[in-house]
Amino acid sequence: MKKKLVNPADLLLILFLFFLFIRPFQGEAAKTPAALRVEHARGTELLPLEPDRTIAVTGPLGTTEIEVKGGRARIAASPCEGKLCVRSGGVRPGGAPAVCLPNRVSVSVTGGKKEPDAVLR
Amino acid sequence: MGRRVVFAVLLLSFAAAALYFLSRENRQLRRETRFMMGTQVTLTFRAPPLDAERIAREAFEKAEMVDRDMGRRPGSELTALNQAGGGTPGPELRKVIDSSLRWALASGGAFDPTVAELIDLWAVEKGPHPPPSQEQTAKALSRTGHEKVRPSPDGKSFDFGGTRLDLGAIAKGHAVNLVAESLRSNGVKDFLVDAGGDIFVSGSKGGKPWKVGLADPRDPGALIMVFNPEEGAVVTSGDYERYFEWEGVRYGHVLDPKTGRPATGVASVTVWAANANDADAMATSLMVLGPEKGLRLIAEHPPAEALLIDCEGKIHKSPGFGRVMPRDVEER
Repeated sequence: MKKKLVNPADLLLILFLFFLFIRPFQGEAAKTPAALRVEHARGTELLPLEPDRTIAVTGPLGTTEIEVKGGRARIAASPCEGKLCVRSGGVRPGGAPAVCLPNRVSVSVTGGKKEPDAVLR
Repeated sequence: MGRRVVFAVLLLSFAAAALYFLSRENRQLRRETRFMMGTQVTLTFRAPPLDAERIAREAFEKAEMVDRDMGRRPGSELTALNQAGGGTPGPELRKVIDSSLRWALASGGAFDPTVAELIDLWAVEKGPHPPPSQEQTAKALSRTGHEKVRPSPDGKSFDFGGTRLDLGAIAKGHAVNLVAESLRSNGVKDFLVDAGGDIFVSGSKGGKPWKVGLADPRDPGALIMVFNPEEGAVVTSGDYERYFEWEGVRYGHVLDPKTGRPATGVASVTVWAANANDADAMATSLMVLGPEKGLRLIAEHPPAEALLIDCEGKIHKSPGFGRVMPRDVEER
C-alpha cells in the first residue's frame, strides 16, 4: 500500500504554521483598541474607556480628577492654579491630549488607525 | 523520502517564523515620557530592547540638564546670572544665549530673550486676573531690550544691561536638539522627540512615515491636519495653550517685546526647520510678526517653512511648506 505524502497531523501542523506566519501582517489597528492613556509622575497607565466613571490621579499638587464618559475623557478637576487643563475640553480618540503640567498629569485616548505619533500644540 | 522533504520544509518554515518574531521584537517601538521643562517630553524610538532603557535615560539626562541650568527656577545657572546682572555662563548656556541674541537681531526684536520682567508682570500661568496697567507695562519695558545685553570682547561673558533673561522660547528647542543628538550617538535612526509642541522626527516608524497632528487652535482637543514631516524639527506656538481670560478678553503667553503686551492676530504658528532651536525662535517670532512679515523672515532663513493660522481661521503658508510637511497619506 502506498504511503500518503501528508497525513492529517501534518496538515494541522502546516495550518498552524501558516496562521503563525500571517499573524504579524495583520493591521496594527486591529490590535490596538481605543484606550485611555494616563501619564503621571509615576509612569503610564492604559485603562479601558468603559464604563463611564471618574478616575483620581495624585500628582505633586494634589488630586486631578479625570471624567470618562461616552468613550471620551476630560480633566474635570485639578488642584493647579490656572485650570487651563480643565478648560482645555474633552479628549477624543487620536486627538490632542489634555495636560496638567503643574500637577504632571496627561490624558489621551490612544488606539485606532488614525492616531498620530505626536501632536503639535 | 517524500515525508522527509515535507518535514524539512516544515522545520524551515518554523525557523523562519521564529526568526521573524525575534527580529520584530528587536524593532519594537519604545515610548518613554517624563514631565520636565514645564512640559511633557515623550521619546518614541526603535532600539534593541536590552539597550532601550539606557538610551532613553541618557537622552532624558540632556533635557534635564537644560531644565536645571536654563530655567528661571531658584538655584539655576540662569537665575544666578540674572541675579548678578550677567557673568560667564557655561558652554551650553552660552550657546543658547548667543543663539537667542542672534534671533533677536534677525527678527528685528520680535523674538527677545530679555522679556523676563514682562513675563513675570503678566503672570499668564496664574489664571484669571486683571491685566497689568500701562504704567506697570512701561516700567517692565524699560528693563527689556536685547540691545541692552553686551557680550565681552571674547564673547564668553555678558553684561545683561539691567535686563533679566528668560530663555523659555528657545531653550526647549535646544533641549530637543540635544536629545536627538543623544539618540543618534547611540545608533538610533528612527525616533520622534516630542516636547509638547517642539518635535524632532528622524527616520520612519517601521517603514511608514511619522504622523504628526496639528491641534485646532479654537478646539485644541481636535486635530485640524495631520502631516508626515520630513526629517527635522517642527515647532508650534499658539495663543491657546497658555493664556488667561479677563472680562471676556484672552491674553496669550507670547508677549510682544515692543508693546509689552500679548501678541495678537495669530492663533497658531507651525515652523519646520533643520533644528529645533531655530524652529522654536522662529515660531515665537512669527506669533509676534504676523503672516506677512513672518513669512518674509522664514524666506530669509532657509531651510525653514511655516504655516500660520490667523485669528479669523485663515491659513497662510510659505511656498515650500507642503514639501517638508506633506499631509498624511490617509488624509489626502
